[in-house]
Amino acid sequence: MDAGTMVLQLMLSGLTVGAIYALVAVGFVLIYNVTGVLNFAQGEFAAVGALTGAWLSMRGLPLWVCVVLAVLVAAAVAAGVERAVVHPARQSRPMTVIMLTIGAGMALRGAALLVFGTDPLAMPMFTEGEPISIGGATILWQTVWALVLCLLFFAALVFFFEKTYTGKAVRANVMNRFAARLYGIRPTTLSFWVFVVGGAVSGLAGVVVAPITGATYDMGLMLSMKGFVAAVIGGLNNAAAAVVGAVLLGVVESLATGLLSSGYGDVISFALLLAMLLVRPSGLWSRAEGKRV
Amino acid sequence: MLAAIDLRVYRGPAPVLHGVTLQVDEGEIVAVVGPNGAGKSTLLGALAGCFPPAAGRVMFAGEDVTGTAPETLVRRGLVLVPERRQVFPGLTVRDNLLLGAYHWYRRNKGEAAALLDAVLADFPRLRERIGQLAGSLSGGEQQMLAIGRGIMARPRVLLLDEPSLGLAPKVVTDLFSRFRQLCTRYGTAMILVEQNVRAAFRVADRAYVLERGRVVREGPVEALREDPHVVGAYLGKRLPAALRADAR
Repeated sequence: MDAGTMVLQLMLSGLTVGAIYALVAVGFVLIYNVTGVLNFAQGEFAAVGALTGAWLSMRGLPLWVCVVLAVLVAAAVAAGVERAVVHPARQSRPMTVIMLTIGAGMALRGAALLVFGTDPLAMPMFTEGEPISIGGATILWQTVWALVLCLLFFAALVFFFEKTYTGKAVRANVMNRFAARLYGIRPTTLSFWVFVVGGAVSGLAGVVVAPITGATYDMGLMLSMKGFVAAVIGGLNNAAAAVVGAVLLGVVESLATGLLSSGYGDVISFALLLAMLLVRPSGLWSRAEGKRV
Repeated sequence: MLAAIDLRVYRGPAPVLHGVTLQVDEGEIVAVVGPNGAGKSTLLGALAGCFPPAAGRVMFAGEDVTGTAPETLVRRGLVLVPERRQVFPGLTVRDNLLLGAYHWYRRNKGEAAALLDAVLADFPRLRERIGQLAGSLSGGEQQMLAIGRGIMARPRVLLLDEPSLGLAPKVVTDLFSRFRQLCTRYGTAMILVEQNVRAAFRVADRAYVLERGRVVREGPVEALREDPHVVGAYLGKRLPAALRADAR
């Protein structure tokens, strides 16, 4: 394999990872903008999705049932975290709530360890078949699945926020929470539902990545961190920018891992986080105007 | 219709209202005037449920609603149009107005469309701007939009917080001249908090003068116009000391 093909191959696998990060990052951005909470348990919802999906598929259920159930379970767990942890602390300072979400993440990891054990669970690819070859590099069918599901989800999201009445109410809440309350838009209701959606999308990310990486009880922490880095690159208040940030992060990480050393991927992405927070804390594409969802 | 009884409110550690009693009857327009920092906005916020009072009660339509959240009060018809307008800048004029009806829109979309049409008939400028983002409107247009959004919530009492703020005198005159008609047409009472005392007195039935968190004068507007304190502090020809201190 010559150098050009290798770079192409690395970029394609970066794209896969990026799509997964993007799903986690969007959940992160949605929850942050609607509730003001930085939810560091976000990656754990992905772990719940991955573990549930893999566990069910090992019990012999049809794959699509596993995927649907994995997404539902992740959404339910997120809803539980919102009601049990975030909702009771809604009057507390932001730092307190951040600590609570980190704690909730640890609790979920512990629970996952008890239920699923330490061994990685395997899950079959969504479609069997030979990898597709592009210019000498290969791309897994699972990658195609990841990208397609990612795109479908964003299309649904854009439709919801631009075209539906409820979506506009959520945007109004993001623009001015106080005025939104005055017109009867209940912040506690929105908080609950945005956790449900954020949990579902993370669960989807988890169950899509499980056939590639396997599902382990502790996979959520890194996904939380990477989703956060991607969201910061996008400026934390713009879902579309977070997606671009996630793809960028995935590709940079993949290139660093492949061309330098496998240990450097995480180093590079956290160096990127530090650099972003120091140099452009409001995101790569920040503008002076107000927030967008 | 709506009454505050001996209302005491803190903002953080600082007492802002020291026992305010006030009421507005059905269809009435009541002005609350006073200098900056007197607690006028806090009073409106407390009535609308934004600041829970330390003591005292808020009565609305015969019920004690003290401590009820704003998102619940709006469903009963107590609607606050907040200070500095606070329209949703990134949404269109139409969406802003329809979101005013958030608490009943889904149950009756036909009626919401009819009410939207009525509001647009009252504010033709908004009809011209219907598809524009609210953030791109002028100050006067944004104020019309904020009031229109309030009407869309089907108020029985509409609380307006400084609608004249930042508007040109001509725009203020034009806007205030519609308040009576709006109240009659939509069957709502109104509490108008204002620093622009002359404009407020032109439209109100009664008024309260609020200074340092206490009601110092109250009564029909005609009577207050003759009151030496009110004339001296708010209606005198000279720029009075009370207003000079906080001239913007």
